[in-house]
Amino acid sequence: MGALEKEFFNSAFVSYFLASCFNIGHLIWLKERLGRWAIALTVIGFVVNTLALTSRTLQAGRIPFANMYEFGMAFVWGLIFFYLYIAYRYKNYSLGAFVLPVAFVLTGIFSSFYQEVRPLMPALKSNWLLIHVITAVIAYGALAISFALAIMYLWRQRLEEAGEQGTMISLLPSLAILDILVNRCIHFAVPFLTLLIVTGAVWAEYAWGSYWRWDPKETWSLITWLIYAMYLHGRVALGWRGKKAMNWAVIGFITVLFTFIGVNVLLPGLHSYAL
Amino acid sequence: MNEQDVIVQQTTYRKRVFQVLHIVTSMKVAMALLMLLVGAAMIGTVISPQRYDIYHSMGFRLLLALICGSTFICSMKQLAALCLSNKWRHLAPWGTFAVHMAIVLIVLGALYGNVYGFSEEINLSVGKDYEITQEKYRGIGEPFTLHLENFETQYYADGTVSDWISHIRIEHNGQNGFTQEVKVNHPLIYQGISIYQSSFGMAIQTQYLDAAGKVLQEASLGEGRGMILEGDMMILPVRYVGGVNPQIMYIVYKGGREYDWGAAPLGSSRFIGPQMGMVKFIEAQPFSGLLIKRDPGIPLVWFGFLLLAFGFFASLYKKTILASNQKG
Repeated sequence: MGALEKEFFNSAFVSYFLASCFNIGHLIWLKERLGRWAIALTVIGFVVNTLALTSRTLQAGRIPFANMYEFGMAFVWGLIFFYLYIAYRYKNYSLGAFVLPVAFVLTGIFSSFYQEVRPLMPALKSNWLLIHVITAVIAYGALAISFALAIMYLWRQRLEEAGEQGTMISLLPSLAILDILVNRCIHFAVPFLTLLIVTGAVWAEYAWGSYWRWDPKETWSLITWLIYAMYLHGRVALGWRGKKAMNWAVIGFITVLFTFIGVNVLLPGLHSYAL
Repeated sequence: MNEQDVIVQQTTYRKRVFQVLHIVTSMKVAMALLMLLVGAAMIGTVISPQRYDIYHSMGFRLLLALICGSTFICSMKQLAALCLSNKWRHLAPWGTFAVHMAIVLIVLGALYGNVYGFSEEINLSVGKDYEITQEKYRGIGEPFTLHLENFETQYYADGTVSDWISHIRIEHNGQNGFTQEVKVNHPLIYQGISIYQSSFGMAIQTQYLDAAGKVLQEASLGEGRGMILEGDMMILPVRYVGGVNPQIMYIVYKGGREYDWGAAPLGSSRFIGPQMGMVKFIEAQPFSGLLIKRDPGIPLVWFGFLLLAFGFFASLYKKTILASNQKG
């Protein structure tokens, strides 16, 4: 069972890698067929990712949210789910060239945290685990999409400035639409990002006897939240649009990644069992 | 100076105050403060709190206070603008207002809890009592006694720890009250205080005697926690081994180096070191590390959390819906 799950996860890794290549190839050579392959590979990756999560759940007899590897699988699954939803809704799959590389790299990082199935340690035996991790998957998934869209914006802007026409630009959504989509993703994510911190704080009060201790994980989650709070204010009150807003979206997701992975690797604290 | 001049001067003075207020509460200043907070918080995570605890420094607290003040004033300005406009029927601006108020409430709740609450770690040995008195623990309901009946570690089938459990009996004036299990994620909440399972260990009652058997030093040590002795020596109980013949494994250090080691049954002495001193482990008791805490700011903070979550969904989701309506 454990071997099977690893096979599923590795297949997802390979599928996401191939899907990244086909997506980028589609943007470069503008071949319709490459785009269709990219979508098919993404769907295959998503299915085996789902199977990996399912077999882990069956094997552990609990939801697979107990460590970095398990949460990583769930996070990448959420990311691809959001991507497929947005792509389907807006009938534009060019976002894949930006999302799939992120999914592929993260899948690689999370597989390096692979751990055999273990029962839950005392601190994690709580109903808060489910809601805390689900809010993380939703918030981080949507923010990863906002990051990919912002990169897409900056890329298209560069192409426009270079005076390129017709080629890959025709596949990318317009700057105005990308700007709106980035904003919408962040608007969607921030309430969940807030819930993520709030549920973590309430849980910490029951588990460790304090809702806030300036633990590195807590502090970095606050930093991430503040970065997005500044983005929202900049947008509403200071009229940030275009490049400036996109740069904040990129910085925001970099702090998300640091909070999520960097803190566990570099700044051990109370939350370090997640490794 | 005639009356006219005084009035003119007063209005220019007032104008200036408003101008200054306007600048201080401007978005640019607020953003600069937030940026400072981000920077300070980042620095705090790389400096070890033993060296410098940035989050409890005056500067950091001042920064939090400034941000709170700015948030409050800005929200009040927005509230005034909202009531005067026709937007007050919409949910979104109220959501934004709720978020800002929630932040102020959370910080106030934290401050209140810090001033009027307490938090203390105690080690309680199995079979021992601990008095919760009104003198020592301000703001509790009735005084009572904690009695640790037993402490146990439970394991899963594969040998990993499943739970650390303190079986605690609450007594009032020597009368038996009730028993409750305190474990991680399951604190005991009673008379306004919370008791958490925090750590555990062995309390090893240790004596250092001279060759004639006179007690020179005595202390309660733990596994891996030693006692400094005369002559640049240290005795370190390494591990308690239970079973039929309970013994303590120990290491003797001299001048910072390992000097000798051995194992001693409970209650019998062993010669250690060149001065012919003796060590005796009287008894070994498992203890439970409990965190005793009262935080009267919690209701305010929890309410702030609810308001924050509600406000964000009301504010950001409404706007998204509006934006898509406009597009449609």
